Amino acid sequence: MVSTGVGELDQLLKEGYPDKSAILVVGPPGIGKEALGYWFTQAGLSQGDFCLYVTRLAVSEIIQDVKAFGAEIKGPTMWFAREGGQTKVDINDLPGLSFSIKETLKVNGERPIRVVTDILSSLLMLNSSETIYRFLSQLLSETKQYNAVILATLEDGMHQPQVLAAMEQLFDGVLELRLYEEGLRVHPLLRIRKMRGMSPQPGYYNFAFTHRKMEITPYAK
Amino acid sequence: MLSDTSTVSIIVSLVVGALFSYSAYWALTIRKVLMSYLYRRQALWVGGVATYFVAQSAFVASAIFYNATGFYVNLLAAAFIAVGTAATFVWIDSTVLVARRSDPLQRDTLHWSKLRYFIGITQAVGNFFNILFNVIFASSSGSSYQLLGYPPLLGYIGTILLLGAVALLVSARRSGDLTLRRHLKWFGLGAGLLWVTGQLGSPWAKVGGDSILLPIITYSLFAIAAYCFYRSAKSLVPLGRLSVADFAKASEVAPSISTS
Repeated sequence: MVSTGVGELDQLLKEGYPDKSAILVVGPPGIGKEALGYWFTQAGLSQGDFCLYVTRLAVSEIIQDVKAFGAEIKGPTMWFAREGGQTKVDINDLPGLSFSIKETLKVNGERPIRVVTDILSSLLMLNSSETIYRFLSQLLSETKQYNAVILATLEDGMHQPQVLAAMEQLFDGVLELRLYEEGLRVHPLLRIRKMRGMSPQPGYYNFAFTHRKMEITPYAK
Repeated sequence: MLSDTSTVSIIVSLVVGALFSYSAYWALTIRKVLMSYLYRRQALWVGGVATYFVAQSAFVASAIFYNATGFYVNLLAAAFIAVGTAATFVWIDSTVLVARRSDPLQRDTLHWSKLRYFIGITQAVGNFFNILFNVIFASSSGSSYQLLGYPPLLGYIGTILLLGAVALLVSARRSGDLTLRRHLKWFGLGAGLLWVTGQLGSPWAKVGGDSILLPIITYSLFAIAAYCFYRSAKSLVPLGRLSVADFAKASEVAPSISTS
C-alpha cells in the first residue's frame, strides 16, 4: 500500500492507495481536491519516491496553491507544466504527452513512482470523450507496468455525467469530494466510491482542511 | 399618510431585500466551504453584490417611508451607485479569473490581466466625478432625477462595465465549464432585469403619468431579478442532496472510523 499523505485517509483506506493503482479524485472546482495530490507528492518525496507532477498550470501557480494548503513540495519533483517545468505540457499533443510520461517513468523505473495530474478535465474539454478514454486506457495500463501509483483529479460540474461515469471505469479507486445541501447548511463530504481490494463503501465522511492537514470525521445527520 | 404607490413600493422593497439577503447568505455559506482562493473570492463578491442590493432596497424603502429628499439623500444615492458599480466590477473580475482557470488553454481573454486595471481605475474615476457632479447639481437645482446620478457619467461607467461583461462572456465560452455557465446565466438574467428596472425608473418612462402600475411592474421585475441572484448564488458550485437511504447507509458504516 502507498500512503496518501493524509493520516486519516490512510486509516480509511486501510493503509493507503493500493500498489500499482490509478486513483481518481472527483469534485467541483475550488473544493480542494488538488490538496490530496499535494500531500500525496509530499509523502512520496519524504520517502524518496520518484514524483512526477503533470499540470496544465504553471509550476509557480501550483507552488502558491501548495503553500495555501500548508503543504510543501520539497525535493526533486519532476514537473510537466505549462511553464516552469522540466517538460512543457502541450495538452493538444496527446501522443507527445503520452511518450514523455512513459519515457520519464522508464528512466526512473527502479524506484517507487507517484504521478499526480490535473489535466484530465482540460483534455476532455479539448477532445472527444472517446479519444480521451482510449488515450487514458492505454496510458494507465502502460504506467502500471512500473511500480507506480497515479492520482488524477477531475472536475465535477464541467462534464456530462456519462463522461464522468466512463472515466471512473478506468480507475482502480475513485474518491468523491462533494458539497451537499442540508437545510440551510452546506457540508463538504468525502465518499470512497470504489477502491481496489476494498468492499463497496457507502459511508460519507465530513472533511475540512486546516493548516497543514486534512481532517476527516464520520458524517452523521 | 403614505399613498398606495408608496405603500406598495415599501412592501416590495422589503420582499426584494429579503430575497437578496437569502442570496447573500447562500453565496457566503458556499464560500466558507470552498478552499481555492479564486473560487472563494468569486463567491465572496456574489455575496457582496447581493448584500449591496439588500442595502439599496432598505435605502429606497426608508427614503420613500420618510419622504427623504435633499443634499445628503442625493449624496447617499450617488454613493450607492458608486458602490454598486465597484462591486459589479469586482464580481466580473473575480469571475473572469475563475473562467480563465477553467479554460483548458488558460487564455488571457482581451488581455484581461492588463484590462482589469484600466477598467478598475477608469470606473473609479467616473464614480468619483459622478458623486461630485451629483452633489453640485443637486445643490443648485434641487431636481430629484439626480438620484440616478449624472447621466453622461453613468453612460461612461456603464460602457466601461459593459467591456468587462464582454470579457466575461468570452471567457465563459472558452472555459466550457457548465457550472460557471449556469451561474452566469442566472447572474446575467438578474443583471439584465435590474437594468430594465433602472430604465422604468427613468424620467422618460414616466410620460404616461404617475400610474400605480409602473411601480408594481418595476418592483415585480426587481423581485424576479432578486430570485435570479438567488439562483446564481446557489449555482456557484454543484450542490448535491443526500437521500434518506444514503443517510441510513452512512450511519451503518461511519462508526468504524477513528480519527487521531
